[in-house]
Amino acid sequence: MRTVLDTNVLIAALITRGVCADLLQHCVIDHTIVSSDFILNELREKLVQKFKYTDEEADDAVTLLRSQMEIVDPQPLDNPVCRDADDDWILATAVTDTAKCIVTGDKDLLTIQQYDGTPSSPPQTSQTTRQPEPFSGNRPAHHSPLTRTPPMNPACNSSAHLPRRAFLGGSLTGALGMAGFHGMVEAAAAKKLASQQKRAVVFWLGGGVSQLETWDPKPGTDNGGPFRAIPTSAPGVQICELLPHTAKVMHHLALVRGINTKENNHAKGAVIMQYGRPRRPGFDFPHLGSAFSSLLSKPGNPLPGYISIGRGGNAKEAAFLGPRHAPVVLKEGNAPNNLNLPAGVTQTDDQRRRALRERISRRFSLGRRGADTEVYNQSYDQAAALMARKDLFDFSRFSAKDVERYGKHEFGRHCLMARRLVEEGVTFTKVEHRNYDTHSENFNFHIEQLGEFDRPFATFVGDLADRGLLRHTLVIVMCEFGRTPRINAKMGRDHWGTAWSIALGGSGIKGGAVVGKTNANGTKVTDREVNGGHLFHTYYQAVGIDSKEDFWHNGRPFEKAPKEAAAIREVLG
Amino acid sequence: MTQSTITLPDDLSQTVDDLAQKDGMSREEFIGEAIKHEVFLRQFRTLRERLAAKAQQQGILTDQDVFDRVS
Repeated sequence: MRTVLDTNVLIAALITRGVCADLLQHCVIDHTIVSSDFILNELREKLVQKFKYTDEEADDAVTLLRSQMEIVDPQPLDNPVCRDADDDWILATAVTDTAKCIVTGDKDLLTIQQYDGTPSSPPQTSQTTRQPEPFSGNRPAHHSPLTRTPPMNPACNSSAHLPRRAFLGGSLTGALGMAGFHGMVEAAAAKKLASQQKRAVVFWLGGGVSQLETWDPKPGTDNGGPFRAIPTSAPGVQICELLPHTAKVMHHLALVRGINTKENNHAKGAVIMQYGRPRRPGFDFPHLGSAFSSLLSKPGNPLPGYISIGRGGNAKEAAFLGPRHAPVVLKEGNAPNNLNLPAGVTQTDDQRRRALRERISRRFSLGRRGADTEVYNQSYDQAAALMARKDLFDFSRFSAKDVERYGKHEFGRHCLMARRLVEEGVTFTKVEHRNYDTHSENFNFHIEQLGEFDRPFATFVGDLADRGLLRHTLVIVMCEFGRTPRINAKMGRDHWGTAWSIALGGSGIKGGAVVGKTNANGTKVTDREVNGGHLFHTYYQAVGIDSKEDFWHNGRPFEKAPKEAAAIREVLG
Repeated sequence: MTQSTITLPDDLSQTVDDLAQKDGMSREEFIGEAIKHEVFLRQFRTLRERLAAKAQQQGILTDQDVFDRVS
């Protein structure tokens, strides 16, 4: 029998010598344990935070259990069913997967027992347990682990609406780690990262993705368009149905729905969102990627601090921080040029040439201001470091399974590359996905574009979570502006910086939080209006940087983010 | 895959053959499954002993103690 064991049952099995331990052993041998990344992540988190086990102990437990489980990737229900969106994912687990039994020690089981007329029973009488073998240990008097058969036709009526924890066993939130065995928690990678620095990945949806077709759907209104809102793994949070995979990782993400940048120009909007404020004549602020590269990269990290995968990126983005923090561009995802030595130049030749250059450079630097020569030296050093790590950009090193999971299209490859860069220690990665400037055929274009974006992005978030990397990595999905709520004559939406949304998650971000609100038609912000400055303060604080403290350059202070704005505390964890 | 040769007492060998046949498995599959289960049980029990000792120090002795803290 395919059986889902609730997190609290797994914990009890691992740390006490009671019924649950016997049940777990029995299920491993005689049944199939179905689980989700959510359950395993929750298990790990509870072991560490609530029961004070070390990361290593928790990882050992998760790894061992995972090796005996089948991890499922449930599909969303067609319509919202329960009052708590998470419950729908629990139901979806039961309905989508072929699990026939949920075992939980949750107090709400009495409610479940009456739900849909399906009987529950304690494990000693359930079909999962051998009869009449007695369970050893301490059997709780009131809250024994109970089993139930999930409803196969989850048509909730109002009286049957269940609280989220009532269906703990099949909880799917986060199931989109989707990794199966391939996505096993990689404790070593997490530890390595923890000992290093925070980092960030920005997904740039160039052209301006529609907030109505993503993070702030308005179904059934004049401006809503044809798509429905769907429940997500974050309680009470709904997003557009074009993002079904992302819906399953929403408990890792927060939404800011009240952005008003007052800017409908592509280039100017892009500056506000990536530099935190409009361009100021006579002075260039650094791009967020360059700033993070400068502030977060560990000294001695040989890898670039800022890599941009896609089309854009140039040396000017670093502004006063210098070329060390300018983006290295992987044009269309390809490796930087000239990573191999020219034909006829041997390694020995190259080393001798470098040594000669360094000697000449040192002599030249004597008695001169060092900044400019230092910049040249840094460029050479970085080029050498990239040549030494050209394996990073070798796409053939990805497993066929990973390529399949992320999708074989260009954006899937870029997301997979971004995962590798995070794992390897690149501080800031920007991944571009373009063609959202949908002045005509907005809906068809969004079906196509978001259809490509959704799965690799959600897989990326799930993989980072599985590997313990997400809590160290700030993930942001942003663009230059949103799109007009009003649908134009060509079935398009135009530029709209007045009321739109972004999503962010990971390091320092409270998963499942939603801040800001737009009116029913989506035309203006009605609650908690924010601009690029607020967002920049939030990004900085999410990775542990004091956003109120200035950069210092040539003896002059410059604001990291506009002083008149402040971080959006509601999304900070 | 690593190939291993094992020697079993005649009666145990016969029981293995009978049970494997009953479950529609080859002898090799049956023994592989049995070893896999045994490995898991030993790993699990070792881990549980380690974790349970620490739980006891926190006054967590029963399933119910866990449910009271995680529900």
